[in-house]
Amino acid sequence: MIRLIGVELTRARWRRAVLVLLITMIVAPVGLGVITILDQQPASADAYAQAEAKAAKEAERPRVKKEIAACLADPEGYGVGPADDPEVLCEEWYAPQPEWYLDYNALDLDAARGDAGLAVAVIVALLALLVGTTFIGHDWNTGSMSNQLIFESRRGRVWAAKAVAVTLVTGVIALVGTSLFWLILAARFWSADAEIPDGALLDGLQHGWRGAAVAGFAGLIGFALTMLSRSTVFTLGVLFGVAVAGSILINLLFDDPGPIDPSINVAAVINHDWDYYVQTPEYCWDGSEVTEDMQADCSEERTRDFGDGVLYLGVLGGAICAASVLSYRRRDVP
Amino acid sequence: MTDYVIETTGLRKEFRGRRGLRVAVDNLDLAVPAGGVHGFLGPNGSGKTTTIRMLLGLARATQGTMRLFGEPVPHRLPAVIDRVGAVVESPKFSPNFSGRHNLLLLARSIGAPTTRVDAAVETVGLTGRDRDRYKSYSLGMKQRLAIAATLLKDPQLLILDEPTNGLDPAGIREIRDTIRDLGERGVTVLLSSHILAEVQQVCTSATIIGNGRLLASGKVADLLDSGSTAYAVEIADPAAAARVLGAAGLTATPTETGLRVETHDGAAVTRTLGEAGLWLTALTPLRRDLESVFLELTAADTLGNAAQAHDPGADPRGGVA
Repeated sequence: MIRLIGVELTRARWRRAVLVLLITMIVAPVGLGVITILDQQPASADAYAQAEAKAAKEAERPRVKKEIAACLADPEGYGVGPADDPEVLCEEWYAPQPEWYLDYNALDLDAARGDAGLAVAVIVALLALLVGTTFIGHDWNTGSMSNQLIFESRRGRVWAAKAVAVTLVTGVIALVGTSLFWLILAARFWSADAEIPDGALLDGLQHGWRGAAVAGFAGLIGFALTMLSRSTVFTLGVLFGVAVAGSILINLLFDDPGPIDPSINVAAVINHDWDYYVQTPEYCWDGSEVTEDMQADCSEERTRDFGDGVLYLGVLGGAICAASVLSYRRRDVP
Repeated sequence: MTDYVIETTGLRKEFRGRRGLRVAVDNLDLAVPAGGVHGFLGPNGSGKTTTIRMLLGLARATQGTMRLFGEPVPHRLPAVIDRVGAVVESPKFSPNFSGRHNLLLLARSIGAPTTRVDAAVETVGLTGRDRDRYKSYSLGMKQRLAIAATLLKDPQLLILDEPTNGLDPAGIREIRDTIRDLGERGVTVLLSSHILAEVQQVCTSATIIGNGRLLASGKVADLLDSGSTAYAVEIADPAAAARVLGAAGLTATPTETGLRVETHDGAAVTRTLGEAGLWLTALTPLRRDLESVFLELTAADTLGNAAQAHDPGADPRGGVA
């Protein structure tokens, strides 16, 4: 088995299209990291203290106080849901924040996990999906699959060796790419002699590693689907269709898409919990009497747990892989 | 008791498509003895490649049993596949890899040393071009590479499906010599080919199939001797000889040099003419070539099918030799 995995790793290394995608999996995070540090810079303690002072002064203005008071008086009118805490949200939305008074965009590693960091992880996962489907689609397009089976006839082993190789390659390369992204952001702090908040770099790196795991999973899914369909183009077409039509359908059919929508679950795994918004039932805002039980449904914000996301992806991946292996073992090979 | 390297019993393969059910192989009993080169003949679409693909585990049989080296396949195929080298239809390799890289990957998958790649490349005459990309190869070079791949395993059974397709005459001769050499070294070769003269030159035994069914099988010499044979008669008065032979119940037709007499029994020709006082100057047995045997059998099979098509009550498996 180890020998077969080695052969598949060599095959991946020698395949130009795969190589280009793998390089992109490193270049893209590095590029996004560079763009991020060109646009943002860490706030020094002095600059942040000055901004805080400005924000506090601004918060004393009657106009601001009036706005917050109005929000607290009519939270629903200001968009605060019945299940949310108006004290917290009105303050957060209408009180001036220190970041508004910096002369530049502040580089915040915690915030980066939800935007640039998430974008990096998603891009890397999409590229890994392409690696998985390109890698094996080539075997089907050229017909070399039958040649390989004349040398190793145990199809289950061939499938497993290829699956392990593609998961390993995409996972490891994604790990390098995402780690580089976070290290570039950290390097910006170090070069500015700014202090990185406690644990922020480790949290960022762990975010990247979860992204790498998702990329490995995406590579495996791309591979398994292409083994099922035997065509890269067909697989990509189906994935595109699911991404576009699936999302619309899920949102039409389900009040809470969290347990069904792949993108929410992927974000939940990468971000280690993910907050998303749902449309609340009519009774939450049409003036009907809302009981305590009903109030739980009136929060627009929901959270998808990391564990639920992992379970979702595990079940989805397991089903796709099982169908792929079964099909590969039973169908004639051209 | 004969040792068979390949055995199939009642082998059947059906394909279900938009146009309904198509039977590619129908109740095929194939037996390839160990050693020598065995020809596997049949018109296009007769089921040769499908049979080979089933033997190699690339396609599933709808019905019937198969054995390679006595082991039931596909169940026990992993136990014997290391002893089998095969080229199925056209060569299939990764076009952007060099010929050598393609061979190296296959060699590594079975743990064969790199030296075996070198040896295989040399055997098929690809030395010097093996580091070029596969997509830059001519069809002949691709065929050679496919044969080189089969040699990586040092096989005891070689299954070659049209191995000389696209080769120039010199290449055909080289491959033919390689096949003959392998057969003499004890490797059993199953050679599927349309070039019947080539099969006749190289093969010791052959199987002929048509419409997925077995039409004939046996040693090439026996196949050539089967059915009608004829003798060429050279004689001073062919017209008189034809009359005498005709009266004795023998069919004689005039040729440029004398007569052609349809019979198995050369002695009967001599005796009949001698008793009539006609003395022949030469009596030569006219041996049929494999092509005429093949065409005779496949034409009969086609006619049989046409007759069955008009007779709905006929057994579709009838007519198997």
